[in-house]
Amino acid sequence: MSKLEFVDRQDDDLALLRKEGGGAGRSLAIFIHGFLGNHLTTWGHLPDMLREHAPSDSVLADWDFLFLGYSTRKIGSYLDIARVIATQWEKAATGKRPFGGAYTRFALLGHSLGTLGIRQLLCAGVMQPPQMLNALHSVTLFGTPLNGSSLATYGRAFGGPITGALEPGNPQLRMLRSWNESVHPFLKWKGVRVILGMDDQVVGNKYVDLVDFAGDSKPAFLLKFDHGALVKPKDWASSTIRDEIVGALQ
Amino acid sequence: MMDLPDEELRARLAAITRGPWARGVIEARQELAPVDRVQSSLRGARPIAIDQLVLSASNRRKSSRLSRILRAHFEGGGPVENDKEIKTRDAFDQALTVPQLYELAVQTGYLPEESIRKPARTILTDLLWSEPARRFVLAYDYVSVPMLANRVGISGVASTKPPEPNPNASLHFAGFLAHLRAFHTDEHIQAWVRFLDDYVVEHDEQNRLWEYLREERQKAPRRTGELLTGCQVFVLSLASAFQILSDDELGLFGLMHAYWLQKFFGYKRDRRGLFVKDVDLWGRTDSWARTIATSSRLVPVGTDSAIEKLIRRQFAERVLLLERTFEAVRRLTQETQQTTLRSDRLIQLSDKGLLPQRSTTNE
Repeated sequence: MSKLEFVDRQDDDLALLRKEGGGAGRSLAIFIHGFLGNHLTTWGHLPDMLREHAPSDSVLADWDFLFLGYSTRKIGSYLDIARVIATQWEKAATGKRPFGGAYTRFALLGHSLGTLGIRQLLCAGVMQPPQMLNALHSVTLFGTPLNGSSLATYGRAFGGPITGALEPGNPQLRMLRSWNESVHPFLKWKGVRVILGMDDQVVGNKYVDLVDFAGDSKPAFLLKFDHGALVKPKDWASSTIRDEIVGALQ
Repeated sequence: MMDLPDEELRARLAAITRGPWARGVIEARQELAPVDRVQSSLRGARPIAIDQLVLSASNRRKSSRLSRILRAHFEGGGPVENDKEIKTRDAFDQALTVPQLYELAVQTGYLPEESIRKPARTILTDLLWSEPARRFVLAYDYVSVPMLANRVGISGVASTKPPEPNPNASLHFAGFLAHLRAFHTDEHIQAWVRFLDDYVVEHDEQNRLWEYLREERQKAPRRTGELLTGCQVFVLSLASAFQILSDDELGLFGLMHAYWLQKFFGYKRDRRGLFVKDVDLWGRTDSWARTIATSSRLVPVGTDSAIEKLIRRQFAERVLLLERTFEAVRRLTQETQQTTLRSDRLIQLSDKGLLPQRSTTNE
């Protein structure tokens, strides 16, 4: 079976892996990276693995994959990341370039700071493309900062204004959680899968019992990885990260 | 070979040619351009023997001027300190990013060979019509450039055989390209690499920072925070790019950053152009990498001890990957210098009486 076609748009910080000529009527999984990440390197060999193995996988064969990026220092709030996702979702749902046709089903997968952009999009109804929640198949958050990151204070000089929104208990995160809780009863998006790293010292995993985001599936999953390795599968056949991704797209 | 749709092909070519180095291409073309047009048939598909071009008297004079500007500093002729020379060399270095990326793009299957043939022949002939420019390319190990030249039918740069493309590595190239575009525009990284390159803002700044990091000086130089931030973003950016590459890709991709890795690990080039430890400056083991990684002042005072430990571990792991990459670069440089490139070059230069006068001191 041939590999997925690779569409590269460096100016838009995106890489699309799709069935040749694909798009119309297919499903699209959108991956969004974290703090100071890169739309491809954040995910290690995952893009390579999906490109090679997805076409012959009974679950993944219906899916195309969009690796989406942003410049961390240009981001002021979670809303900016949400807008990046919404923009490409809207294009994909209407078959605009570089998408080859209108996608009908979507999944969102994020890492670290990117997961907060996803959470923001879920609860900021005015930013959502038409029928977004109806087309949303699943949401998976790897290494999500449930209560920020203790590294954030140190990283302030590196990452620009968004770094403050990663500090433990920061106002933007508290607002997001409250916003999330307020609108979930009305918008009711699909259960959010939270996957945390057992060895994650960047965002940790201890807040899983203390900080509750409305709509998160229980329990959260715990994998034996650190923060960065949590989204970098080493091999396709036996990777638990692969299992989580397949599970998200099932 | 793959068959890319036109739109995709255009987007990929533009990602290479319109990167942050595009300005350097324009400047280098202006600075290095021949006075008279070199040969009208260069743009065709026929093989080009670039070292056999017949130059007009004006072009020969220009070439002679370039031999001073583009000299290999380690071979003699004095350090490069003149602002105009530095500007021209920097622009040329930036411009050479494009042919290097063309070659890596073909090797990784990101672009089909036929798609870069015409633009590669154009930029190579524009930049490398003169002997000093070709000598610069070989002296400073732009290994991918002679590979590309041979790939697109240009002989006379060096006889390096380009490898067969690996059609499965295009995502590696795309990830690296995204990194490179960000690297060139990141203000923190640029502050740090300029510092590595001796652009300082206060007297003896490099020495003062080194002493401060070793706790031999209490007062921090003015830019300490800015430079340590730049260094850490530099390390993070390079490590994130290198970690997706296979062992046999590290050398060629790493070469794009060889200059900075050399400075970071306390190396210099010897008179043969090989990377050797700069013992006079750093001793046998010290370097910016080591000084910063082991400094108690890497992490601000008052940082939680668990966080400090994590920051140190992450930094050390990333530096280790950079070190592994620099080793691969040195290996590749040694292989290429010891085989075809060096012998080609020495024969060519010797034949033309262009070998620089060497001093008798050993390095």
